[in-house]
Amino acid sequence: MYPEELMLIAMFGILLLFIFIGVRIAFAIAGTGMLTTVLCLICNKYFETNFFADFNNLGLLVNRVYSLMSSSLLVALPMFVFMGIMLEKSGLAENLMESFQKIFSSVRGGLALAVTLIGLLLAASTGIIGASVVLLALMSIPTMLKNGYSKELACGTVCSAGCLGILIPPSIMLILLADQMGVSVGDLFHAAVLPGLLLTASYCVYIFFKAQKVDKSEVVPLQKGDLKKLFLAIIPPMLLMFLVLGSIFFGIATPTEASGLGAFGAMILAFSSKKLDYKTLRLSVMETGKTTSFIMAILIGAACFSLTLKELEGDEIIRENIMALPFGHTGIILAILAMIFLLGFFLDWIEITLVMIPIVAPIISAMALEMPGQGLEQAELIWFAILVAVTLQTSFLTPPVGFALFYLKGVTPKEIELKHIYKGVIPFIILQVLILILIFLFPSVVLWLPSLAA
Amino acid sequence: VRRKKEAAHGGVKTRLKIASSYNSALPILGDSVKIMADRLELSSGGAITVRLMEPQDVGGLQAILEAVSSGKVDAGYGSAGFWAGKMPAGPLFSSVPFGPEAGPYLAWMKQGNGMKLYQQMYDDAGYNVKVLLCTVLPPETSGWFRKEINSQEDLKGLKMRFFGLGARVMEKMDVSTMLLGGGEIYPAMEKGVIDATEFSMPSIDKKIGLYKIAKYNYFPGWHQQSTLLELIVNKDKWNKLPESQKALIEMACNESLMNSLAQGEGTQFQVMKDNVEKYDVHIKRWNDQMLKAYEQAWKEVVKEESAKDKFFDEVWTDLSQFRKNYSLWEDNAYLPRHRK
Amino acid sequence: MTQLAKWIEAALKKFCELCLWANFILIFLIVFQVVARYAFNFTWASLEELQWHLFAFAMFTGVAYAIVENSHVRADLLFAKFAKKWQDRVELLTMVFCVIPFFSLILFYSLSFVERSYAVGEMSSAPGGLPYRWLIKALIPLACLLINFAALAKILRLIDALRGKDVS
Ligand code: NA
Ligand code: NA
Repeated sequence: MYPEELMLIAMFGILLLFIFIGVRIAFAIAGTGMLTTVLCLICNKYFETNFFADFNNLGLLVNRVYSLMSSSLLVALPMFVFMGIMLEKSGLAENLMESFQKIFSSVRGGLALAVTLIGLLLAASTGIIGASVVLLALMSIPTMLKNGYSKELACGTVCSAGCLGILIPPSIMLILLADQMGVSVGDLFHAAVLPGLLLTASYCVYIFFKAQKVDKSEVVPLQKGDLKKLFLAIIPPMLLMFLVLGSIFFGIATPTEASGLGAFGAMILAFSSKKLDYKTLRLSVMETGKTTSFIMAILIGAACFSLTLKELEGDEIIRENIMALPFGHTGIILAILAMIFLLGFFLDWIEITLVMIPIVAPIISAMALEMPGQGLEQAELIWFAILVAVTLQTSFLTPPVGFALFYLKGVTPKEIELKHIYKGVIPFIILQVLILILIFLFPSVVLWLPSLAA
Repeated sequence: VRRKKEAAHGGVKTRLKIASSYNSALPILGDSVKIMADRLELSSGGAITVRLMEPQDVGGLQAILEAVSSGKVDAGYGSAGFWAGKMPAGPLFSSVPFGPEAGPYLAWMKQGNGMKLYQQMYDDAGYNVKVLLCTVLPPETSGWFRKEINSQEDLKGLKMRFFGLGARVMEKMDVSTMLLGGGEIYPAMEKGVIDATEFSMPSIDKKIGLYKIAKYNYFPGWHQQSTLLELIVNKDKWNKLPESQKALIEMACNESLMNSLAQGEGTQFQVMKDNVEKYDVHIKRWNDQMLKAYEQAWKEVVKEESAKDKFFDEVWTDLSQFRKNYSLWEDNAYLPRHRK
Repeated sequence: MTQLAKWIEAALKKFCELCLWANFILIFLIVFQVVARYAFNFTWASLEELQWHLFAFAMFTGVAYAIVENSHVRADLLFAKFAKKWQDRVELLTMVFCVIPFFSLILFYSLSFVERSYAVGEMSSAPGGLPYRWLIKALIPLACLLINFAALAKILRLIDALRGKDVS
């Protein structure tokens, strides 16, 4: 093994160690990047190694931080978080979810199904995982727990539904992937629709069957008088959600505009139901600040980690090792996906896309794979991009280190421990892997829709 | 002989980290620097290794100038037009509406005062960079529209993605403009955030799928008759390089100038043909009245910019003078374009 | 030392809580802009930029605030089982080896970043955008300073706690 490879292993080792002894995630990731750089410099000085490492390179962090600050897209993050907190604090979310529970009371698991469907809507409107996980968690977890759902199922539902956001178009991940691979964004959007819907459907089927056992709420047939009350509870918040999400989906408003309107609308709803006083407002604003910041801190930390990784030429090392594998095309593609999955333990999808795609896209192109998509340009890259997208999405909810898991942990009540979240997501991960295999074996699942459009 | 061999390329190993403003997957814009990097590594016998960074690696293309100047990366590849917010004269060194074609533009740069003024712009603004030219592109298309544009009236109120000084011209035509990165254009068009866009040449526009979403492709590219891209190198890094490596980098840049022009000129017609035959794109030409309106608006923009920034005025005056002098040669030496 | 830490934290809390209202203002700004755009067909590039200025302002002060409030998320699988003493040590390690060096590095490099922007009078490259880019860029060193103070306060507390002087 070369010293560079050992150093890479050390780097991932330090991070895992930090995370497991309980160093706060954002600082564990940032600190690992820094310490690895220091370690490389020390080795260069005393052990005649030639690691590429210097602090000047980490100086790029300033620019990365600035680009995060000035991203007009991320402005939507605090808005969605505020909307979630407002709906929760004012009791509107609880009312909404309770009403769902009653309406679907003849359908076991109706509540969790509703969460998944709202997740799908959210997914179609924002690609920010942090925002959708937080929003869904705040709105639905307390009610699900109250209605006898296990902590595991509640967490699993929220995590998996929240992560749909990066796959279902229009998603910023697909835009960046298209950019990096040099394929058409439109094709990629079309390609992601079917896999995204399949995933959602498989979640729903699982929740339906699982909930037969865990949903302990009574089956109460609806009374006539109830109906009016229920609709009064459901309509305002649902209308808000549909207005917000629909306006993004149909291109009437940008995600930022819609998120701001959503936050405003949630505030008005809370006010009109007399649940909004200064104290609640202040608390919501502070909570929004804290939640947004811990998510942003993780993104900044991840930038440090990936800058160090790239300076060490970790991407080249990974590429060389993949190319040296004694497998055929299938083996190499699987190895790349495995690598992306592993990186998903440590890095945000933006970082992974930046580290991996420029080196693997040419490998895939060079394979000249036969694809079913007729008339579709670069069909193999589009198929591969969706494989990558689903893999990334899977790795965010895969323990031990999954970003969605930590986002969820950051906003759930104390009684929910990390182990509940870990256990809860496992069935969903299995579903994800099944869909991944399906896409792998039958590229038509991905290519059918875009080739129709072409 | 042996000593000479050892001293090849100064006997110094150089690692050049180049941050690119374009994703390396983009043809011509993005891959010409990649080709240049490969050629540098090959021809230096391994003395120079290049590490290419994507724009997002350094926090977006706007970050590149500062990153190069402060030595966080060694070099940056892109367009001086991106630095308009920092140096108003920047766009004049990249592309000028109703400006020179590739030949005379290069002539002004290399034979006239262009390069001198270019370097002076960076020096005066306090940026610690050495500037080299390394890509030249033929004309761009001047936009993809969803409807036919026959008069100024049709343009009014459109929201359009537009680059550089041309954007100022479009603003004068009551078009509201914004500058989006290559990847952002398609989704913005799809959602109606913008109604029209220009990006680059047909072969590059094809990559981001514009032919699917807007069917009226307008020519000529009055706003960018040719485009120059730069390689800026951190000055301390540059000064420390052995002379042979400096020469090698300059040669690689010059080679890239030629390659990019050939590639740009050679790869458009097939794409345009496909656009029309396979994807029902209408290739349109601006009528004379529209071109006149654009030119009139451009003259106003120049006046405003020259009044605002002294150095802009200086560069503009020099370029205009050069073009005036050049016209004696151009008018006599070249066959008229509409000869067929 | 705990007393000093409390003092620093109280000051930070006051300041950061004030800054976090930027998110609240942001809501109204966006609403105003949407109304202006759709009702009066009126757009203003500087307002669009003001959005992320406010966002950046709240986000950055929020990082320091979240340190004071202990709300940065962690994997507490093992941590929850640690004795208090070991928990304190992990926290000390976080602050000393991860937080302070990291944000000091950003602080250091951000100085020339801001200086450059100031020197060229950088402004938005969008027509009608905001001038004085250096002001918003200056937020980076300022925020790093706040974060370092927050970390310092934590360290002071932890040292006292580990010495057994204060177990609050
Ligand atoms: Na999405
Ligand atoms: Na994971």
